[in-house]
Amino acid sequence: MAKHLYGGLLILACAVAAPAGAAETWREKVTQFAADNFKHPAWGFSHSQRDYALAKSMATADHVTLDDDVIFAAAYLHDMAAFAAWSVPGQEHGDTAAAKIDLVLADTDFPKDKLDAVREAVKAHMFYRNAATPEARYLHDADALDWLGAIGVARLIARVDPKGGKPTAPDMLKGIQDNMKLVPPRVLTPAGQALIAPRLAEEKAFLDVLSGETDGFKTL
Amino acid sequence: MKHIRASLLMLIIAAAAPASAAESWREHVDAFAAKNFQQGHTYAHSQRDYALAKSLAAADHVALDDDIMFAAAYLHDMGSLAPWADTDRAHGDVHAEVGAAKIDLVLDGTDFPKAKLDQVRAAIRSHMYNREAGASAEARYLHDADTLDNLGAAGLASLFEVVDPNGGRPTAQQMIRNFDNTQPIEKGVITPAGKAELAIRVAEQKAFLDALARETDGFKAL
Repeated sequence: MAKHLYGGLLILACAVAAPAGAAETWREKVTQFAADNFKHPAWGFSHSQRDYALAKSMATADHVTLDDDVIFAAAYLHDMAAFAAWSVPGQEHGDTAAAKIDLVLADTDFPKDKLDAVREAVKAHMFYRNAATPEARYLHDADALDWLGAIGVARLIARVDPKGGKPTAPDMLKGIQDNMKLVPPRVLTPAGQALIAPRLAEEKAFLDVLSGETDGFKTL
Repeated sequence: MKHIRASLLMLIIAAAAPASAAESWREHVDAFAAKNFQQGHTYAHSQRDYALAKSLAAADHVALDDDIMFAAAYLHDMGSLAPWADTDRAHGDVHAEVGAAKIDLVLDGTDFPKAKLDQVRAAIRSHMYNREAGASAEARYLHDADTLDNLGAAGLASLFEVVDPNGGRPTAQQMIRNFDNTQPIEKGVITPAGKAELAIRVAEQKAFLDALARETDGFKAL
């Protein structure tokens, strides 16, 4: 009797645990897919990790609830079409990625009814686009803010061709300066807007110092 | 009258000749470096080393021989670049020795003062932070300028520029480890003005790295 009862409890425990175990599965697949395929110092795997973490942290600060399935999938796959295997020349990479997320999420236990919400967030992720849903707005702002601050500087510098080709160090400098002008007005959420000033201050401090050490960027 | 004018003209040309000739080898070295030292942004680094060495020496009221300083600063990393580099790993880092041995390839056939070649070679051989700087003022200030260019915003920029822009190695995460402990580099600074600049650069570097750590979960998402 006791043995039978234990067996029943075990089956019940497994059944309760199953959804969590299944939820792990698609996240693991997406994480592994991104780690294996998104290799780039500015928009690779670590950029997706940062966007996911920052989007969640800003939403928490604003007391906004995000659907974690949607924000995770959107954050990890939003730049998929920046990579040659999935890019389409002449097409905006957010639009392309939105059309291709099924290549990763199909045949997983990702909730199908949330696919459209992921597509919407992926499409709207760039700072020059508008975003409506909470997941789209916080991914949009996390992605925009990753162009600013110390990380914005590091991403741009890491894109410089170490062999002396393009982009050059002066190209990098222009990129940082352009981002400092163009990105802040496009940050939409209160928590995102609060991060603009400290990130711009970090960049300005770095550029002031770099200018001092490179004869006003002439020997950069 | 005409004869006097011609003599004066000859005198002016003769007097101008050394300056013009001095310009000539500098232009040659500068053009050579600009053309051949783009790998690893070595040309810009050489320009910074020259400017910083002069500025540190001026702050310390030390006079430098500008011929030696210019040639050594612009050619000191020649031995780290193709086709001059020694690529046999068993030899270790010998780029300073290789550079010192190869400067004749650039300076031969120019009006660079031959009597100063050995001092240029000595400054190049001792330019790295982990070497004891040569006794000359030029060697000491090149050594400190080169060491300091590894630190501060310029040092950070130089290291991140080496990251493979296509996602290969080295990655940003690998390069950031160079800043885990910069004390061996900091200990390489020997001149008074260099030490004063060192404190400023270490503080700048720390401010940037602290911000970067905050934004990347302690560099885990870099």
